[in-house]
Amino acid sequence: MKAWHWAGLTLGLLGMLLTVLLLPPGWGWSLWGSWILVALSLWRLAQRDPGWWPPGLALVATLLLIEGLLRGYGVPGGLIPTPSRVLLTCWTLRELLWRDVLQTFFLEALVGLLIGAGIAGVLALLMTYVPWLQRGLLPYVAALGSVPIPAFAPVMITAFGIDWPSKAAVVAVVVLFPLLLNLVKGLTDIPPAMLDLLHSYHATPWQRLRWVRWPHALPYVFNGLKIAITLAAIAAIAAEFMGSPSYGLGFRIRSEAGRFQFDRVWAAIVYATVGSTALFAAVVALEKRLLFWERR
Amino acid sequence: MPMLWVGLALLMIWPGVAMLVNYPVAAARLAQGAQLDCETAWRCAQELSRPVIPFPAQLWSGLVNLSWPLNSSTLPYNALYTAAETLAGLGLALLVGAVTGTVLAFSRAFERMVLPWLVASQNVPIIALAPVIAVLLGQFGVEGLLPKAIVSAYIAFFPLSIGIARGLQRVHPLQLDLMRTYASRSWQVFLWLRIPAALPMIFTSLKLSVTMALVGAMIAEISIVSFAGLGPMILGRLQFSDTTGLWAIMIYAAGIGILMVQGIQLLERLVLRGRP
Repeated sequence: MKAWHWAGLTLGLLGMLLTVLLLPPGWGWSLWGSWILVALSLWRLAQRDPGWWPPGLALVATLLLIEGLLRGYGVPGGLIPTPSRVLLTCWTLRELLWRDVLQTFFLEALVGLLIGAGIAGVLALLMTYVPWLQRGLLPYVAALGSVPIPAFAPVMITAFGIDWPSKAAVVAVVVLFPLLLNLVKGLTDIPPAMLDLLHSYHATPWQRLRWVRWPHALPYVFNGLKIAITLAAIAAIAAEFMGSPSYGLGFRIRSEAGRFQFDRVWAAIVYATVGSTALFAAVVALEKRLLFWERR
Repeated sequence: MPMLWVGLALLMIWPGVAMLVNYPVAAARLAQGAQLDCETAWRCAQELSRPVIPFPAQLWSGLVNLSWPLNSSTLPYNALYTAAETLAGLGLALLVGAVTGTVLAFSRAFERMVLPWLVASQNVPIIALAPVIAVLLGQFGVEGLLPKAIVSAYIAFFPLSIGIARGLQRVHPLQLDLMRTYASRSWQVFLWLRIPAALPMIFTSLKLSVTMALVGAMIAEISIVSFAGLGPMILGRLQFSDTTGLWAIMIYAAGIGILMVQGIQLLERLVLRGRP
């Protein structure tokens, strides 16, 4: 019976596409009809098949439905723009938004992440060799990381100015805790036999760090990085909401939302989503490369 | 005990750091010939009206100034207001998340179509949508506490629904078999086995989402015209670059966040007492 479901799916998607493209007013029933056809056949197919295409097609169908509904019912484009218009804006504003991406992701999120990672590295080394610092300092770092970003960003803005360094500072503080926690765990949770072996080799402390502790910590580092990279994007954007020079994705989103230019807002959101997904993917790719021994 | 020592050490460093960053500012202003009620840059650095980092004494007086008297323009009232928004949002998210999570846990087709997007949303700055939702809700006439609660619910919804779905599925096959030998119906399995099994995970995702829900509520506050809550207070203080006031607000906001996490932890211990 599978062929029937595929046929239904294709027919429904085509119907939706045609309705959206050629929609004369009053053809809403055709949109609903084809959407129900898509939903039912997709439902039956998804019950049987895992994989990428049930969620992918569900997204396509949802976007088509939104597009059709917005057009069919004549919702004013200023309030909720159609997906196609958002895509168009993504293209027409590409230079402006690329400047925003540079500001938010590269100057703020990545620089902040690097600073945070540097501080985490120093603190983690300290905590590895002075264990009571773990109990003494970690709770404070945790508390610092849990300060709500909208309350923390203004303090950094008054200290570092309104441009990107203040946001990088926010990012550095926010990512510090997950990075530090994972790094400390990785550096200290070593099976004693490994350290004993190195001891019997008469290894120097540096060699112990380089050949046992660091490789052991690496998977933990990547776990921390995966959390941190997402947090970094969130923190940069949320910090920009509190005040920034006239560029940056967070600034763009907030100011254009205030001016009811929602197609630009959504375009900025698309860029933010793609950007943070790309950063996350980059971390995962780096992990696969560096952690070749853990490949599943 | 180590915490106490480190805390003391941090307190000792604080005035030094504050002097380090404030001294150049004070010296520069003196060199410009500003009329300050102090003689040396050393004294002036401790009395700047807009310090880069406030001294302990300055921060203390700022905290007292903003905490007293108790009315709608001081911190306690506004902090409670923001906390109320966040709690209402968490409640809402729990409700919607429970429905979505249940459907996710029991419909394989729905799970396959929707769960990948929910999981992907974890790696995406969903906070970017907060101003849009707040402004749209304002357009549709939703006012007062509700729009902020809805935004914070939206932030908390994603981790919560994933947590609930995973929790409901996390029952041991042996336990399911046992329930079957009791001839229990599926709603009984749900009520007496699945929900209790899901509770620890629900609490974990609640704890994870509460801080971001608070962030969402505050961003909703600054995205639309609001008159109560910490967000408007921050914007007001930021206009005058009142550093000390901003620090005081930050301390309150951090306090709310920490108290909420502790509260959930307490609730967790109460609900899950007697479990390993």
